[in-house]
Amino acid sequence: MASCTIAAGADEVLQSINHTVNLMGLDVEITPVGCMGLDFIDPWIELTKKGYPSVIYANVTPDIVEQIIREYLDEDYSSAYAFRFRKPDGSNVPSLDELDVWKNQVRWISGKCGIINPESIDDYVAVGGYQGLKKCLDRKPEETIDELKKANLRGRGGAGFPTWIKWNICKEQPSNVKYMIANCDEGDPGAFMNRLLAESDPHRILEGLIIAGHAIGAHKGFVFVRAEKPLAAKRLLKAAEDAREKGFLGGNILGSGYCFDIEVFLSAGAFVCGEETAMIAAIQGERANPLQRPPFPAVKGLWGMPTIINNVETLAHVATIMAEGWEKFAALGTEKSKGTKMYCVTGAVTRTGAYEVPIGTPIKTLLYDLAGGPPKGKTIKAVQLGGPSGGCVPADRFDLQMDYDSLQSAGAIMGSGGMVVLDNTNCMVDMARFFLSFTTAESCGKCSVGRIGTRLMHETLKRITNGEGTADDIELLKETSDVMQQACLCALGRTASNPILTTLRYFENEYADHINSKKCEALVCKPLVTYCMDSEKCKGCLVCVKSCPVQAISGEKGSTPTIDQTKCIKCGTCAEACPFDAIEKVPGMICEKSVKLEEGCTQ
Amino acid sequence: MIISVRSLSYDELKRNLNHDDKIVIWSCDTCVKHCGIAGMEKMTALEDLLKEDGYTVLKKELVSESCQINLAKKHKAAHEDIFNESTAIILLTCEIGYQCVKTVFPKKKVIATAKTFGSGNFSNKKGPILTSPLPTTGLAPEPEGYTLTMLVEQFNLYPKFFDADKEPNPEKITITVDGKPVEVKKDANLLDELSANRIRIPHLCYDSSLGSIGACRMCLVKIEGKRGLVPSCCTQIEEGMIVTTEDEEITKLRKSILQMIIAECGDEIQQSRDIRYWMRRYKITENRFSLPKKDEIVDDSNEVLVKDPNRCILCGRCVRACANLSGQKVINFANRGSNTVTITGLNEPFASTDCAHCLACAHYCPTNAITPKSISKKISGYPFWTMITYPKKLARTT
Ligand SMILES: Cc1cc2nc3c(=O)[nH]c(=O)nc-3n(C[C@H](O)[C@H](O)[C@H](O)COP(=O)(O)O)c2cc1C
Ligand code: FES
Repeated sequence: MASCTIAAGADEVLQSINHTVNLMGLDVEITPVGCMGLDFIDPWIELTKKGYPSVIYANVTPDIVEQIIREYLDEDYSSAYAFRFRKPDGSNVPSLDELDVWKNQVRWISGKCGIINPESIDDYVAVGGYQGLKKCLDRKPEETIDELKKANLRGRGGAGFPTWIKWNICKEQPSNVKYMIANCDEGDPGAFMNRLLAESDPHRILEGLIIAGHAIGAHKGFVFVRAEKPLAAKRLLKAAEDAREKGFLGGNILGSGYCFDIEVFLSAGAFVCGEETAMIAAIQGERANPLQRPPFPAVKGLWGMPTIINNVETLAHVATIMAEGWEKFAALGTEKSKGTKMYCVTGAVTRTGAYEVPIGTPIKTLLYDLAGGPPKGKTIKAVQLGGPSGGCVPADRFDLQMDYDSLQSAGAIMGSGGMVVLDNTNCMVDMARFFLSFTTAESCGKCSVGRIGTRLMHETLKRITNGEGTADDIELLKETSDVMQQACLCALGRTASNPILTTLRYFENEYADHINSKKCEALVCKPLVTYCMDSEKCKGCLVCVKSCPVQAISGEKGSTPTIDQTKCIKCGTCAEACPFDAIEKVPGMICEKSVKLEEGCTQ
Repeated sequence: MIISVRSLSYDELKRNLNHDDKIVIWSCDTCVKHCGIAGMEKMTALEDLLKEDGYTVLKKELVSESCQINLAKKHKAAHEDIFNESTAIILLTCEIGYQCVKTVFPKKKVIATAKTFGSGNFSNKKGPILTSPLPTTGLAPEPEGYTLTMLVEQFNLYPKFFDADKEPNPEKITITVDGKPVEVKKDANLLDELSANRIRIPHLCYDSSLGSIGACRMCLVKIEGKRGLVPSCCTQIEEGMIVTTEDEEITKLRKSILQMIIAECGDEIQQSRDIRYWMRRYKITENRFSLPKKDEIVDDSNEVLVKDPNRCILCGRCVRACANLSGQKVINFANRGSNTVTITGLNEPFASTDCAHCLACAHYCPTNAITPKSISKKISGYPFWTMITYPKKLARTT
């Protein structure tokens, strides 16, 4: 039960299960668990009984719960999605390990998501939780940092900075007040792995946070959670309470003499709050404006004290590495970037979800093997990686390995790991415009270049998608982007033009279409599409005339009506209303068919 | 404005101090500053002198007007711990300021440094002029007024600041700027030191009295060994620094940034002194960028100030002046991204806020977006205090 499954109807299914179980008089234990990341099967349930296989059912609705339970008890598994472990001989239903979407994953940190009850500390301890913390408390902070160094963990928050170096700098600071912050802000569109982790396995984050605190010598930590993720915040709070009760948090942790406590801080809710120095300002109760670095937070951060900020995924890795040992971690990934990374694949794929794969996995594998490729009838055109600071990678470069350096060379970034898949019904110019409208609104407004630059680029893109673009606009975009990359105060501004630069690099033809030919091939930019009447298909029923909300269509019964393009607001109601599909949406500002017809008449 | 003259020599000042005193230097940012014996620069000079002589200076406290006792109280409250620790406060204020500060710190050693003569005004030619002497001075009303020099001679006082008695000699190091060696103060702010060496760097959001936030990005320079361009206003001087303050790339960037700022604000701000200067210097005649004009309402509800948001470049100097110098926090930012604006109070008319009418905001605004009423119509490029005889309120206090 995480936000995603609840949105898909998990609450109703749970009610139905309670109800059914009561009616049937069964003696069962019902455990709400977190999300496995397979969003396309939400809501799902898993049934287990001694002597029976564990079976997962997908897309469950309240009315089929009873049927599922009865079939399961009758050992009829035909309507199941998959078996959790080995399947019984002869069954048509696959086991999880046979599924593309599962076997291609390495679930290093997300392995317990969807298995344990996120609100139960006992569940977490039962699967080996807090073992890593115990080890770390028994040894010197240097050894913990050394272990991380051997694992060579790089930050999962975007920049990929080696975690051990950061910690070491902070540890070396002479101050006896230090702070540790877990960054669970995750504001970029299309990314939800941090939320998923916090909702499904919150203790892992907490354990990583405590280990980090111990390593750098902090006694106070914060988990900075976006206010728009209330369930994540609630579970983290509950986790902290339980951990305190069991002695994993608070004074004298596990008898080691080390004291550490945390606070869950709800974010003010702008994308820029995810930036380290802005986050520090927000926690201090100020406006979330980034500061000029250096000094880096590791030297001078929260309330002027040395502070480390780590992404929650990084911290989950820390907890897992400490429990399982660095060797296993370092065996995964590429030469320069070890381990695994979670990605959220959304948009034009059949299986949207959050998947964890070793770093260096090709884009292709994620989009096709895991996410199942495009829905029927569509082709994938590109994927936007790393949210508003990232860039797009076109389909012909999907062999690209996803690691920090390869992505950078393609103009994109790893970022938080959000992947928005775009198909032929997506307009790349419009996509760039969307991301710029996002950064324009979600930045801090502090530095002149960031504030004005994003607005300039947004206005320019608006012009282009409105059909008012000129050739000079491309130059203007490039110039503005140059200034921003060099002069902005924080990384938000310096990277804000990435969506534009990469779309210009790979899809310049679409910009040319919008500017020169005044048409949007993807049929997205309203001013650059036209609704056309096909007189061959039209039967003259006048349904369209009645449906038009602005009376732009007129005609006599029995003959083909005409659309007044000056009045048309391109809402598409007529095309939907037409029973004969005689109204077609075409790229361009004029209706070529009707023009030809008119020409024909006059001749 | 109130006219004051320094009444204490440096040796006399030292006689008032114990060697283990923990000192706070407290200065007004208004009248006495224009009499040449207060302000941030003077505090720094005095600090240098004292430190050289082995004294401990805990803090420099710049206050817009110490003669408003509630402002003095706010400053005390904002840094309670430092004031508690301190054992002596040296005041660079007028005598009215002394009375207020002494009232706020009744048990502390508070050392006044100036004698106050009455109210007057500031003339560009003659500097501060005393026009209405206090009866206690025994001076007869004089239609032309008294200049500072006349007062110094008649009362046997000190014409200049403490550093005229003894040149402060802080630790200097040599760095390389644009290929030439330049002597600078160790650990000081790079932009300050470059200015002190007459190397002009454009800056709109920085002022040494207000501190740096790195918002306008005009002061970017190149420093060897540092990635990309760095704002000089946020850079501390380090040994062996090699700085480039101007080259083709920097010039191009500064031009673009200035054009962006003008595009956001509209042409009106071109009339303000700083913008005009840099436009001329960088030969900007047209604007590469254009944006829809802001069309916001001018707030003239305040008794003494007019706030015109259309001229605001969001440098935040008024915000910091109001918070740091007056301690009132009446002006602040609201909204975010490209919708960011400065507001007064809780986005209410200026008149219904806690404004103490100290004019600090207007003094620091680089684009005349906040101006004192008497000159708001004329919009000149000169600092407002050169034009007015404003201490209406102060006159009342005396
Ligand atoms: C505009 C902006 C937004 C950011 N948002 C996030 C975020 O939502 N979550 C995150 O973990 N890091 C975010 N970061 C990166 C953080 O500043 C920081 O680098 C990261 O939390 C460091 O953690 P790591 O070392 O574990 O990667 C953002 C950075 C910028 C510039
Ligand atoms: S003066 Fe340095 S950024 Fe504005």
